[in-house]
Amino acid sequence: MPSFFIKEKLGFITFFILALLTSILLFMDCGIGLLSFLWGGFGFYRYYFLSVPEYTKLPKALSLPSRILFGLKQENKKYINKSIERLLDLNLILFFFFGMLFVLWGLYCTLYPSEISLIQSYWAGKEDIFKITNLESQNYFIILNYFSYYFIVSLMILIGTTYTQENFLSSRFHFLIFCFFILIGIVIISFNSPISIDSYFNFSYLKGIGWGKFGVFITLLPEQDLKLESGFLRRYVETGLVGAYGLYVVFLPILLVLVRRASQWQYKFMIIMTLLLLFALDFFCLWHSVISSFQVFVLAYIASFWVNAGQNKIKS
Amino acid sequence: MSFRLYQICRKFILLVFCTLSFCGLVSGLLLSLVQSPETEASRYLLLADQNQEQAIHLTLTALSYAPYDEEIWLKFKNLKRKNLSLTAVKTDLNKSQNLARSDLK
Repeated sequence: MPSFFIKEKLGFITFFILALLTSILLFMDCGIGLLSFLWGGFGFYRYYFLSVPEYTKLPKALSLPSRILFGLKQENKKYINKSIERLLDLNLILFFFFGMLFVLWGLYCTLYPSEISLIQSYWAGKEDIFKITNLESQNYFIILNYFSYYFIVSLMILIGTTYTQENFLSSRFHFLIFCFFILIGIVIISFNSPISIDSYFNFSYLKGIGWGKFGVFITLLPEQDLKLESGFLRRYVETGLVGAYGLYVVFLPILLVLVRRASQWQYKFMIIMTLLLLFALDFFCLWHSVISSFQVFVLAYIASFWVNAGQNKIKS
Repeated sequence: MSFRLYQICRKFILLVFCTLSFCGLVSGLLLSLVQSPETEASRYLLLADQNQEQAIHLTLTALSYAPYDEEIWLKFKNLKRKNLSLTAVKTDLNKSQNLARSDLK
């Protein structure tokens, strides 16, 4: 096996261990700074690995060993180009474009928060809560925290996409892993009580009150209202209707490309089920660090085969 | 895709890759260097103790760093209760003063 494939295998194992470590640390609700640092470092390593010049000149002395060495280098370059080509997929570019808009919208809501009175219709009669939650000062630590989280998820997807070795959508093993994801998701849903969705379609609340303020907001609610907290609701309060539904638009290209390129109908079905499950966890379940870390890990798993999806595998 | 466009896209996506990695490194480093949220929350609590006028606002800021800290939450509740009773006393006082003024007239 050429050294390129050994490096790829080792790199992929490191990627998976890091993804696992990320989900564990997110579950424990700590170490986001360290994780961001680790993913940044790993991203640079991967960038260094991929950023070879596209073409090299022929060696001047055309002896047999130099020709063989040149040929081997060209072979490696062909594989690396294949990895980079995966990043040039239109759906991936759309995904990052929408993702950037989503993050910028969140930042805009944080720097210029909306009038909190707009969301009062849902929690009628609790006006005093809304007045005091509207903090004047911006908490830059929380902004940095959110940014780090988005950097980690983006790097996970970007790095995962560049591994061409694994062909997930054509093996029974990965079909079983999808089943496992769905099983865990169903268990999580069944242990969480469903939440009210009356307020989700309040179109007057377009802009949110900014990142990190939901924590204070939910703390100030009476105890019987605490069960209202879900991932969707968190985004809804923080980034408004645009941010809450905007995240689904960000992930729409993933759904399209995976369904289009899955080799068999069973895999198409499993992918749709898994993405629907992520949606259900976000929309109907209580927000919890377990759910958040589970979602991040599933996304990393999906990213590792997302553009390839069983078509462009490089044979070792 | 034409060759020229391909080259531009390739350079662009590698630039995005590099930028994201750099941002991840820097934000991770900054997060590790700045004070932990708990330390910041206790700093704001101390400020709230020293500045009674701004106590509610400062305690809320502390809550934004440690939203699930029960101790801060209890303190905030007490402060709010005190503030409400003070407002009620002020309102009563205003009402009685107004009544007294109208009686005098």
